[in-house]
Amino acid sequence: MDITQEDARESLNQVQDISVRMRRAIASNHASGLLILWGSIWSIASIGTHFRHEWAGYIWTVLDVVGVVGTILIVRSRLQIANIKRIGQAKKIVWRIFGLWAALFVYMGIWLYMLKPDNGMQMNAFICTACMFAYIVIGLWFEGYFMVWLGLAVTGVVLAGLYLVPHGYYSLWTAVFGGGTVLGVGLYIRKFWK
Amino acid sequence: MVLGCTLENFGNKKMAELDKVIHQPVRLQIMSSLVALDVGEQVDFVYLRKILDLTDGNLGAHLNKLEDAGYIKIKKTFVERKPRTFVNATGKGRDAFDEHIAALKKIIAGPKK
Repeated sequence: MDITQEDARESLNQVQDISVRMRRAIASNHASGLLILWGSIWSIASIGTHFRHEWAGYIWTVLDVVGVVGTILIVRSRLQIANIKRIGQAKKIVWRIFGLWAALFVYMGIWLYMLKPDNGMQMNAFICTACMFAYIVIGLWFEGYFMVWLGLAVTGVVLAGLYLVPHGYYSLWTAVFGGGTVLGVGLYIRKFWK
Repeated sequence: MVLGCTLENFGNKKMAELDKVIHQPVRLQIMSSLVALDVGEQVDFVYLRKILDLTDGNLGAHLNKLEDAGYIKIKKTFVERKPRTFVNATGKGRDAFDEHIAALKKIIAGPKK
């Protein structure tokens, strides 16, 4: 079978285009719902903290519980109605990611106990950047490099705010540029990567 | 040098060749989609149809052709009592696809001088 160089080039371009579309569809399938959920929680909790600082502990606790329940529901529904199904591996992958987050929160607790941050801003920034570390690891595991870039970008924004934003407005900063970025990326993937 | 050319030509005949089954444009798109998934990942028929923007009949016909060649597996199952069809590339299909891509790259690179 003979084809011209131009036809071969066009075929190869088609292959690359479809591969990118497929990987993006996978990202949309698995990640968008969770990014929208946790981006929203982050933004709402941060705004709540800004306006009702004395209730910050309760706000974050309640919304984190909502987030965990929401995560379980989303993951279960994805496993059951998955457009892309991993034969015999789905539950292992879910447990692996759960293990990562569980280990991270345990270590965060240990580090916070040992280091005892001076103020709420430092604690806020520590938790945010630790979560972004998990995003980067997950992105590397599954070759979802948009997660790596998201983790790095939000880490940069959170740290920049720590040094540039006046004390009383840091929660608003993380609401918009931390949670807002995560939420925005989730919405973008949901809309444009299907 | 003659011997070298002969051996080189013999070597080229053994190298990747275009696969007639895969080279059809729709089937090339299908295989590209399936090979983009990890080994062990299956994609839903309806989802694949949406990504490739094909009709049910068109996609179904080409999937059957690929299955007959042993390049893909089609699995019909039920999810929440609704029939679902999942598709994945076989090892043979992945090898054939890789060989096809290698052949395309060889054509793009042009003949060796």
